[in-house]
Amino acid sequence: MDFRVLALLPLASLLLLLVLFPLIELFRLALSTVQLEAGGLRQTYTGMDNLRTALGDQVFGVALRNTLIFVGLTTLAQILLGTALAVFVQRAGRIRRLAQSLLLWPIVVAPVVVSVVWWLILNSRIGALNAALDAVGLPEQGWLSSTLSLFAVMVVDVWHWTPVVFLIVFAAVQGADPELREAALVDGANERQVFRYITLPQILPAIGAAALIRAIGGVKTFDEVFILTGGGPGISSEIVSTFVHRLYSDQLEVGYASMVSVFTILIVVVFAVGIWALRRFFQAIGGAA
Amino acid sequence: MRNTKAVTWENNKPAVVIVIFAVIVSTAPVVWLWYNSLRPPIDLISEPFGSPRWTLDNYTSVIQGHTPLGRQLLNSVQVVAGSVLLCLSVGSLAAYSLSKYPWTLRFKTILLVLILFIQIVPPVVLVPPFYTWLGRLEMVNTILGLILINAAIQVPFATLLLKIYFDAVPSSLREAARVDGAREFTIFWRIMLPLTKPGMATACLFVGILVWNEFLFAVSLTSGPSAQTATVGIAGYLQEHNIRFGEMAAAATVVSLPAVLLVIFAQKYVVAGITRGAVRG
Repeated sequence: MDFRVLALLPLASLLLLLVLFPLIELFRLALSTVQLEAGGLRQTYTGMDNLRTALGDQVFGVALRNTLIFVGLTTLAQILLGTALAVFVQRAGRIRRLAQSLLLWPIVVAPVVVSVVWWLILNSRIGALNAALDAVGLPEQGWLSSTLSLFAVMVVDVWHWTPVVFLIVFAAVQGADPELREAALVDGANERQVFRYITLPQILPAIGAAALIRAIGGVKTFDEVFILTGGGPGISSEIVSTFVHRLYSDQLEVGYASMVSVFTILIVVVFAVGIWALRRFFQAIGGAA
Repeated sequence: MRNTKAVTWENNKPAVVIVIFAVIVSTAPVVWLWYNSLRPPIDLISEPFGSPRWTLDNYTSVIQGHTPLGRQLLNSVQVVAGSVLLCLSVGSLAAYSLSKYPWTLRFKTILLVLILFIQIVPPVVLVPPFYTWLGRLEMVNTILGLILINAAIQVPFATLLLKIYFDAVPSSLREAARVDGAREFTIFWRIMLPLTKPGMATACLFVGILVWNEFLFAVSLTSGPSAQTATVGIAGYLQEHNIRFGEMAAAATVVSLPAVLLVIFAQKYVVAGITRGAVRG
């Protein structure tokens, strides 16, 4: 056989065997009721039953709403903070390289470790934050055990992933043409104008890419929410991923969990295709202008 | 030229202050974890902000305790090594084929769309089908099962990343070697692959960190210490009724150190992995 085909074969078989087939399996499971029996799982085809259940499930509705809030706000916060950080680090002179290295720490630390780190800060029993609030005379809060829990895991997520946005935008800032900036400064533009009219247009594609990456990453979030709040208390911080996990692991509703999964995948795909089409559209306009 | 740039970009005092603040916010929580692993757990309650004494007791209890962290760390190392090896060999071969051979545009597009699709699927939805699949292959609760799953999840990224590096190698080198009568695999192995070493290092580092940190598949597809990884062990501490937070901090510190050391000593590759991946995505 041709080497070009041979070289591609391992990738093709790995993806086929471990991604494509499981996805087909997922769609099959979504259309069935799955029961645990002595010998293992028994699937019965029940068509669209699971879809009807999903559309009438209020918990799923809450999970979708929380996911939307979580993804929207964390992405926005990360983009604003990460972009600001990129601009400031570029101006930070001698400490630039050291700062870049230290700002990378949150990215590489395991989500499980991040959860432990923030549990030590946020939990109401021995948490450092409540101890600090207490010391200055402010009331303690159940950061992870009240309706603040969704907000708390969002803060953790912003801390964890803002550096990714920073890195991507920082690369773009460094790649921006310094002569344009100097010319504008010589012509009497102030720093704010230079950022708005010179730097920002050059780094906008990078900001867009970073936003897309973080939005997708936001939908994928599982570890921190699962470990820190478990979607609780009640369902106050339930997002789609913890909901799906709860369905198949606690309630053993494998068929229904698969339908919710398929539903989620479809939403993400529609969203991603929409963004891609929008980008194409703007590129087409930009090309024409 | 270099001089004017220095004048306009550097020595901006407010920027320096803001950056130092951001650095503290980014690193302090992790340092707080390390610090808590080195003081008596009782002090977290009685002396929340600082202890008068240091101790290694938390580490000795982890070693002697009933949590099999040693075994779990060893499992993590095996899963990381296996996944990295599989990802790099499969990914580099595929990237080379896609970069240097004439595939039709339609075929490349289909493959790219498939790869991007895999990137956006939330991993949690893949757990039930993975479970039934590994069950059929009799690989639930095995290290090999975790290696295969992790490799399959990470190989799309590794392939795309390596393709960028292969694209940068001039094809003329290949033509020259072919004229000299070298076989196709020899050209790949002896000539092309060594030229993509920075790409291989970046992919290796990235897949390694991601698999080392991986929790969801490890917790869902294993059921005992024989294949459990270290992240599962650490999450286990928080599920106990009386959380042993000293030991938990010590175990989490051990798991956090390799990643942080990699950032310190291989910053260049970490940066390349994130920014190059972003350009493609």
